[in-house]
Amino acid sequence: MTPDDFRDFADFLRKNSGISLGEDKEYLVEARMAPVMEEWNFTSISGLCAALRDTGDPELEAQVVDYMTTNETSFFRDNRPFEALEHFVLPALIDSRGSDKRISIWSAACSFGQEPYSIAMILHEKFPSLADWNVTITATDISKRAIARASAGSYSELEINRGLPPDLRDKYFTRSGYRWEIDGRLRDSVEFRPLNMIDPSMPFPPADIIFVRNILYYFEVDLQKQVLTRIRAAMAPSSYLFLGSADTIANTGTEFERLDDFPRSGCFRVGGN
Amino acid sequence: MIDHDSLVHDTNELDPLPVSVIRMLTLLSSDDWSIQAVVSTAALDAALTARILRAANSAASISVAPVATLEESTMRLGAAAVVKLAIGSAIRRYMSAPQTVDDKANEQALWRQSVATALAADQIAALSSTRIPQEAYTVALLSDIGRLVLARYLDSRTLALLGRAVTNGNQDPLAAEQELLGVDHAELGALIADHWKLPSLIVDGIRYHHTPMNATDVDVRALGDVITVADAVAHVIVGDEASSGAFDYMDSVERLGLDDATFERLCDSVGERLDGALSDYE
Repeated sequence: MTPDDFRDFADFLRKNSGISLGEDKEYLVEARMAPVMEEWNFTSISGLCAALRDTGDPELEAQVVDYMTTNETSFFRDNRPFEALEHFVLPALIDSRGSDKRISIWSAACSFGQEPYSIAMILHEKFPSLADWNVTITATDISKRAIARASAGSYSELEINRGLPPDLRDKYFTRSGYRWEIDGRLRDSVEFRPLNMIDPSMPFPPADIIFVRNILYYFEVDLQKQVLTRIRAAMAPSSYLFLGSADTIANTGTEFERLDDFPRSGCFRVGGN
Repeated sequence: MIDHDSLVHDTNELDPLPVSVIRMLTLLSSDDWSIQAVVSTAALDAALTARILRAANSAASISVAPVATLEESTMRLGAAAVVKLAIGSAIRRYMSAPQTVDDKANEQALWRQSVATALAADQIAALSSTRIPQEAYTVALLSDIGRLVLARYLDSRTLALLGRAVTNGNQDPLAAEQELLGVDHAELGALIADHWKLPSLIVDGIRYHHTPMNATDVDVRALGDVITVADAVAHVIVGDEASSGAFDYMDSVERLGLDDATFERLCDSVGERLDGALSDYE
């Protein structure tokens, strides 16, 4: 692809998803766009870039964003955040929300659902006392294709082996041919919906716990600030935010306080006790 | 991105390892194995029996009286050597296949890389100040088995993109595989090893052989460190024929209690022994 094509493509992607493509990522565009080009009969990447520039076809645009933003993930990714969730955050919220008996959890940029389902497994396994609470897990992603796959709760053998302990796999998943299907109770405990985090017309779900892991670092700093400000506005008092290991709140001027009780968990607390 | 179901299907279609090999590996994973058990297992496989007898009576043993039985051969070679012979002979036919869809020139490249890695792993295990599981040689030999299945999906265009992801994208080959293919050869190799019903330490050793710090088990981490360094040694000796690129190995060198000079000596030593080791498996 030509430098001009790459520049135009990167501009398109940034405007539509917030993702800032670094230099020398032409190989990624060529790789990810191959199936899109095949489906739309583009014979060259330049043809695809011209169509994005000139035609404004919403279906093509959505598919391009979809294929560029979908990334592989895993169950209980990085482990430490989920340890913090189990051993500190949920116990703290059970204490503070005892009168309401409500906890709302939002998993943003959830990809194929491994993160919200990991959260659901922790709730089922470790917090049976929450059975009579109103606990909601909302999971969102910019990609409708990812949301559809996450909602189905069907995983390949490779995906199931990524981070999921065998005892939880056997308890909450059923083998079906080469794939593993999630238990219906767990699937029904998560509400999946599309959401583009940079679209101001799409409100963020209010939450006591928000997972926004490994997505903000794709955004430029100003956009990170804007998104974190909106996230802060969606958070209840004395609530918690989880960021990924490559994300940072530095220079964003937001009022998140790192949770020192659980270093390396990427967990921050907002206001209150 | 490669369709996972296709990869899993291809994995399941691979011929199983000989029962004798799986039994031997399972035996050595337990604490209470005996030479007799190894002999009994090897005896199930006529081709392996012949290979063991030949090795025991090879040029290396020429100064001592010839041996005629499997038991005598096993006593002479040692149980560990017999297991290595068994697994190597079994794996050779898989690893000697063409590596990519449209490049059949490097049929032996992956095999040479694997044997070099295994030789290096053996020596590293002996030199390291860390306790290294005895499965190191086996894990090293099998560590790139996932590339067998992955290779079926790698045409020249995809290989070129992977190369650019490493050089332009400034990431290691495993991260490049995940980014472009949605899967990496380590996890695919673990899937194959699991399909072959190999012991879990070997399965996880393969899974984490480039990412030892992602493993929670200390033995798996040790294996990962050994294979990371061994792979780097093999990369020096064999070059880029079969390798997807070099991984950063210095942290593993440090954790194993080794140094730069040791690494260089390893390269020399493995380079000298490689051809002899390859002929042992023919």
